[in-house]
Amino acid sequence: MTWPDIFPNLLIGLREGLEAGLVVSILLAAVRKAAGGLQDGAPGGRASRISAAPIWLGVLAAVMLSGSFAAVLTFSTDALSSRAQEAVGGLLSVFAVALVTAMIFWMRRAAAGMTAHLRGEVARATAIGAGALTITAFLAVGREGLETTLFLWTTARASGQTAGPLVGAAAGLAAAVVLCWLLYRRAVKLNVGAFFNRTALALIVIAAGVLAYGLGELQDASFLSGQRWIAFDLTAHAQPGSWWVSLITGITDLSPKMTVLQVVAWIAYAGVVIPAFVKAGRSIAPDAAPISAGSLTAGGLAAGGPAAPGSRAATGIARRWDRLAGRRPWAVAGVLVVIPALAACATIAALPAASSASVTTVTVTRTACAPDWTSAAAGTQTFTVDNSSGLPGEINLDDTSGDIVAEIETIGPATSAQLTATLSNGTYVFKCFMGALPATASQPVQVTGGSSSAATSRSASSPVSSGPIAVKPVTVAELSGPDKEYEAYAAGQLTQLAQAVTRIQADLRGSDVAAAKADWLTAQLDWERVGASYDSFGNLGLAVDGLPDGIPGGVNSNDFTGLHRLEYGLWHGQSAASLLPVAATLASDVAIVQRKLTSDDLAGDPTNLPIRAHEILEDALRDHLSGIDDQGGGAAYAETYADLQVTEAVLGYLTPLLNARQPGMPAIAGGQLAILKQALLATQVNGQWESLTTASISAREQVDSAIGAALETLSAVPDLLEVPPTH
Amino acid sequence: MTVSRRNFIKGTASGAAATALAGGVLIGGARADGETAKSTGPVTHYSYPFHGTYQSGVLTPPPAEKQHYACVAAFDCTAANKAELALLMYELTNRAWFLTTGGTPPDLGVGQPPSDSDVLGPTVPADGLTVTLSVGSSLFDDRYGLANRMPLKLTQMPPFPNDFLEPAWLHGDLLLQLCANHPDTVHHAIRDITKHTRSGMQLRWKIDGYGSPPRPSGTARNLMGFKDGTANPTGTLAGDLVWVNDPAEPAWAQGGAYQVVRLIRMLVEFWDRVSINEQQNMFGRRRDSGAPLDGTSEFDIPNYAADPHGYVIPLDSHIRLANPRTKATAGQRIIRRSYNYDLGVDENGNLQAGHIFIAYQQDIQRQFETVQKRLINEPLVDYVQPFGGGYFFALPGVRNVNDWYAQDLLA
Repeated sequence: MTWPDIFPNLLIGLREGLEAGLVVSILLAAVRKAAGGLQDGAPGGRASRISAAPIWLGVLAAVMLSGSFAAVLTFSTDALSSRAQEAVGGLLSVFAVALVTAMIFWMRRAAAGMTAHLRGEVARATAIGAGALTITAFLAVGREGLETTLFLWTTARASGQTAGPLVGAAAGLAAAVVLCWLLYRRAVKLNVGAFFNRTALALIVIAAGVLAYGLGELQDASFLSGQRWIAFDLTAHAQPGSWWVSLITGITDLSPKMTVLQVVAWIAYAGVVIPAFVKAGRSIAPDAAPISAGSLTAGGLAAGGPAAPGSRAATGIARRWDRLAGRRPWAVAGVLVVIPALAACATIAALPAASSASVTTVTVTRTACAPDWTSAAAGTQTFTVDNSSGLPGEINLDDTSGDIVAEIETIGPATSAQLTATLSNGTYVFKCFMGALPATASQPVQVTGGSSSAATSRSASSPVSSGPIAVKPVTVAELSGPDKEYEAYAAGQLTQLAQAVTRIQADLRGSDVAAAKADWLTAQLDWERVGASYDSFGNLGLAVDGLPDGIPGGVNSNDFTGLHRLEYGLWHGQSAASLLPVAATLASDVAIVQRKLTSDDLAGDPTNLPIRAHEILEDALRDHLSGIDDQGGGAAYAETYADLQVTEAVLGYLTPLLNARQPGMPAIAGGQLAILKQALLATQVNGQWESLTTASISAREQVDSAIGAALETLSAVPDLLEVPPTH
Repeated sequence: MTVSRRNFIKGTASGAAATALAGGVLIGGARADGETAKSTGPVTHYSYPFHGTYQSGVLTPPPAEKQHYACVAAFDCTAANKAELALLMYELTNRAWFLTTGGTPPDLGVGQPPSDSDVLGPTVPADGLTVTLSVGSSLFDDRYGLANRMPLKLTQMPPFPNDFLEPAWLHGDLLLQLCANHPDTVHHAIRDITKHTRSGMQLRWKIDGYGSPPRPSGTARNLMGFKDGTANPTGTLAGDLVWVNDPAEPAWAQGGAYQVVRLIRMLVEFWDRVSINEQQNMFGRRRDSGAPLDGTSEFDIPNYAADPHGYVIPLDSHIRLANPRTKATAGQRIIRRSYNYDLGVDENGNLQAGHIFIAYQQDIQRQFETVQKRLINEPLVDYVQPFGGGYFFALPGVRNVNDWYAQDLLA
């Protein structure tokens, strides 16, 4: 809530409140005068009929009408799609501008004759009955009330928040009431005409902004063309939330990015209406006496001219209705008060309930997390989370045990994003982690009307669970233990790898290519079991296990090093002597990996461990089983088998954490890995691994099927064990 | 009521002026919308001009409205000499002109097989076909005596780190990009063109592509499920970034454009097993709306200055590396006109599917290569495997009925 958001509505509230208040004041004064006159000149029977009560009833009815209108606007547009909301918002904005413009000019013209006109109405009411007085007050105040409501609603939409505009309007109305009371009591003097003239100019500027905003909404809704014909876009320069942007956008409703249509409309409206207003003032001014405070009092009224007959020519029907209503002020008031309220309730009740439950907007501020979330129904639903905190952050929806049901991992400042959650019976709470601020939470909301437990049905394609489950957040500390176990496992494999590389070097020195090939396979499988999938060991991993692809010069490049370089040489008839330097480089690179194994860049970051649980085998599917990394050794199945072994180890280390979140999941994954193991072993003939090209189609399909099934299950591990980021 | 003539004229004039203003703004807006057409997606046109300063199929129709179907075919020239190469170009011009205009194929009588396959019926419709012809650097070797006439920035596409290039899917002397509203039109075109050019060129590799409609709105999605092409430059900006106008370039090359084609396998099974947070952090956009992670809707401009550490949009995310949105990198932007492809089954039983990346620009080194080098080792590389494509130079347009492809080059 900022001052710039308050100002336009303060002005509107003050002006419209003053207009309505003046009408009421004049009516009250006229009634007092009329009542006094009657008492003086006629027997009392009539006088008791003319009290101030009918006027106040009319005012009350008008307030009810405005309130009902506001409620209908708010609730009905919430139920609309965003495009329809834009369309309705745009149309109402344009309508509000038309009303305000008409009001400004009407005030200018009518100011002079208003007192006389209203006195005539009072006189008519005394003749017809008090009910007419109620209607007069109702019409006068109701019109201003509807205008205020509409304008307030559109400016609130334009500024994207409700608190500032509401406070502004309330303050303006309160000031107007106090001012009217003081004027009525003759405590202050105010040149009302001058007041309306001066505020009118400010109002025209505001209305121009609302017009531009409304046209922009209609363009967003594709009701008008030109949404992408941008006149200027300062969003890159204007820091949203900076004071001067708020000041300009708040007061004028202009935005840092406007289409040509918006700019043209703004200039055209201001350029036509302001001169027209000034000109109208000049032509009227000489013979229009501004309403002064004096004219508001009974004395002032008495000094006015004779009562003019109602300027709006009343038809016969209206007259008859006047007479009918005139005798029953309480009934009229009752009808006027009750009908708008009933109509509003009926309209709101008739709105589709489902849509308002399925899309809910919740707001995040610096101090509050979804304070507007108060109720929810069971089932799958989408929330629009509006981030007004000015900071990036994470939004979680948690159940009673603190498990996460849904999340927006990153939401930018001054943006909104969708969050989809499936809720069952129970209590839920939004948690907001915005920047470095302390975490905030919404009030707990009880969900009822759904099934009593989370979805438990299972399907064939997903053996674990078909419904969404809530996930207990994991901490780095919880993952540290398992990661240490993995490091120890990998260190053991690296020791074996170093020994195998030493043997390769000996083989090559002895020019024993056959032995070198066998030891290469051992070394390659040792490396696979280190679990350095997907560049998770960075450039060091590439030095040990890189491929020629992507290197200019390919297999002949000096940048092609490591196990696959050896494989290429051994299977492409390169001399043992020429491969000795390759093996030596490999030995030193392996030594570096051994030394740095526990650094964060290699195996030391515990948050990478859950990713390893599925990516080692993804690596096998992508690089080995596709044949893409085969440099002649034909070891795809052997390598995949080694990847399976390290995956089983990693899964074992993570099993307690996984079972705490999705009981039984590791067992299911373990079963699928066992099937993969069988399928892989079935590609061996006489204890020797077949290559991709020599294995039968059926054996290949068994392997591809088993690894795919295991991966579909294992892919949940990083989601189940995700450490929330820090913003 | 009396209306003075003066007031009548005044009123009429101001009414007319207001109507003209409102109409002008709305029509201008509709035109601007049409130019970007970002919310309406592809517009089906019956035909696009064949003759002009620039070839169609680059910015005509604009990428956001590109035809739904495409074929990218690379050829090696078998023409024996420069004269035969000129004849090939002349024949290609005739075929492209006929196919993109439509009409009735000639009747060859009973003495030979029919002149047309009738795949599109007796009368060939234009069906939004565009034929875009490009040349590769290999055309400028010693075969045709063109070595000193090569566009300045044209080279053979080098391998980039993380590429898995397969020679059978790389390079070529010529490249045809055929785009049309229906796949049979594309097929008919390549079949007709090869029928008439057998002796002059041979197919080296060919891949068919398809575009997606907006789902549900805005820019079309790629096979990773993300909106792709949101930040494509449009309108005059696109023209300024695409057409070659450097005086240092050969005169014949003015009005052409450098073209990069990359055939990128997407490991869609693997991708589908990646958490949504990781997916979104890799792209830097939300998958549902296409909004940048710091925005609300697709076309919101990411504000990197407000997020120097990448807490909201990671520093190594695709959109941030590809287009840092700084003054210095503005001239590096490219115009992407990409398609999806489906190509059967991979060795490991996975779908062979992905992305035919087609980019046009003024200068490959300044634009594509600079951007591509920033993208080396972006997290996304684990899920894609570029395996083919090449660098090409899209010829200037065939200006009129007396002109033909590469006339100025071969003159």
